[in-house]
Amino acid sequence: MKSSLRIFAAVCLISLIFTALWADVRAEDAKKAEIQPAEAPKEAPKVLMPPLEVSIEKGMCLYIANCAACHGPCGLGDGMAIIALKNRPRNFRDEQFHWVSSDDGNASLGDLARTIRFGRREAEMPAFPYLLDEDVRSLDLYVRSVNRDGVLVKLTQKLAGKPKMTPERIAGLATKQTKPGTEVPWSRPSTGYQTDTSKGRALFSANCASCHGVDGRGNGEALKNAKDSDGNPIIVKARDLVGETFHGGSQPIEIFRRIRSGISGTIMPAQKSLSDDEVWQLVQYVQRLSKYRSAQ
Amino acid sequence: MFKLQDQSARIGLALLGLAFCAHASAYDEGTVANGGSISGFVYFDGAPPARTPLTTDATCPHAVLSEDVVVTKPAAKDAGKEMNRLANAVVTISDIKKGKAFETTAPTLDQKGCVFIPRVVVVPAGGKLILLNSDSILHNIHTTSDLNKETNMAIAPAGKASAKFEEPEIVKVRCDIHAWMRAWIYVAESPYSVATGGDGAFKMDKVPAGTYTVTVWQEKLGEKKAQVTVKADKDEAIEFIFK
Repeated sequence: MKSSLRIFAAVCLISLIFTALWADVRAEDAKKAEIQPAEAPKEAPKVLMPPLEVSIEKGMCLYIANCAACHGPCGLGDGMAIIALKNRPRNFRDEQFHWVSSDDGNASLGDLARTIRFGRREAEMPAFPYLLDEDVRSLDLYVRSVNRDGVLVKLTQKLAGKPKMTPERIAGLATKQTKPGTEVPWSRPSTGYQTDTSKGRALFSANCASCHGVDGRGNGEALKNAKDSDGNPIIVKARDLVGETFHGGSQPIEIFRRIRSGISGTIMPAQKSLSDDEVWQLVQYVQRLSKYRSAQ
Repeated sequence: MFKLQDQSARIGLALLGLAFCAHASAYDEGTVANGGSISGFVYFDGAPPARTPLTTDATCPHAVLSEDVVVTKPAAKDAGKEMNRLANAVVTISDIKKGKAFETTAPTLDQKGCVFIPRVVVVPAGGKLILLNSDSILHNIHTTSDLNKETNMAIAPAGKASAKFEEPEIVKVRCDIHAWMRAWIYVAESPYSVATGGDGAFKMDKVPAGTYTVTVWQEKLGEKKAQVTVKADKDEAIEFIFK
């Protein structure tokens, strides 16, 4: 009892001393404040947040810190972590961005931002929710510049020496082919679309079954005779929509974008000849096909 | 740090390049008074290569013949011009900078009976190309080219879509679902580019008087060039012979 009283007294004493000291400091501050106003600017600064700093330099630092482990120091998709991954990370230099929502097949600002912020969990790309808007925009600039470098090299190999093909023109083409795309506008599905599956089934067999197979298992007839642009047979695989996860994302809007804008740089085409409602019918049908639907 | 400076220098160069291209490839549209015209035929000398049937899909209605070189025999009335006529060749004035306006109706590329129709379609650079599918099965349009970005679009049965090509060049088109299907999109810099029909004939009107280089291109046989001087209100006849 005695000891606790002593402690109580000690605490009181210490806090008294601190309060006294604090009061002194406050008094000095107040004195300073009295002097200050004459020197301080008349108008208080209006901007409370620092301006957004978006730069390619910042993008590079963020890339090294956050992305290089998987995507590699030069963006070739060959980072140290690939030994632990099932899927190969994107090679920014030599491949196109796959998960686009644009009209022309170029990744929009939103496409890269969504991939960075929310990740592509089905393809093992993690989410980076802690990055600020300016960080994401800076990363967009940097990653896109790596992509442009790769396109520039390819175009130069193909076009150098041809008439009218100056280095400046080739550089201009590379910039044009990698600039951010404009997103295709979309409307919400009309109410009640989820009750009718027959339309979705009919649309699927007319528009998807030739590659993805009638049952959606990725065993369509068309891909058995697939050839590249020079007529050489190639092996192409369509996603098994029943047994595999959707790498572009399994949310309805993500499937919608995949159908509407296709997967750039692959055989999966953009479907622009169907109405928004028809695409939503397909989205619903494809979601029902997947064995992972209960997890969604 | 050097890398970064290099990067911004490249972006600067690219912008400069864009400005330069816009200037260099500009074609001025206007009205042409007292324009002449260039007309003629594209011939194929000798026995034409046989048109072989291509592998057909069970869903496609009939056997499709290859269309690399399509010729027609001349009609009986064309005595003295016994050479075969070459279809699907594009004749263009390659060095014209100013002249008539582009057509306002957009050209069409159809897919019918598992064949692209026409085999060669001419579309103005930056202009709209209407893509159709007249079949009851799915087709896609997959382009390969250098200057324009690859386009890959599915066209639903009886569906319709459109595409644009900004850079003048010859774009190769295929349908991945039916591997034999081929077409060419000739993205033209000026309205003075025309494809020959089945009779191998072509005509370009409203050509301002002057001397031009006229080029003909055919997918398999390559290119030929000729110098042509056009006089006001006169037609200049030329012919191209491929072997």
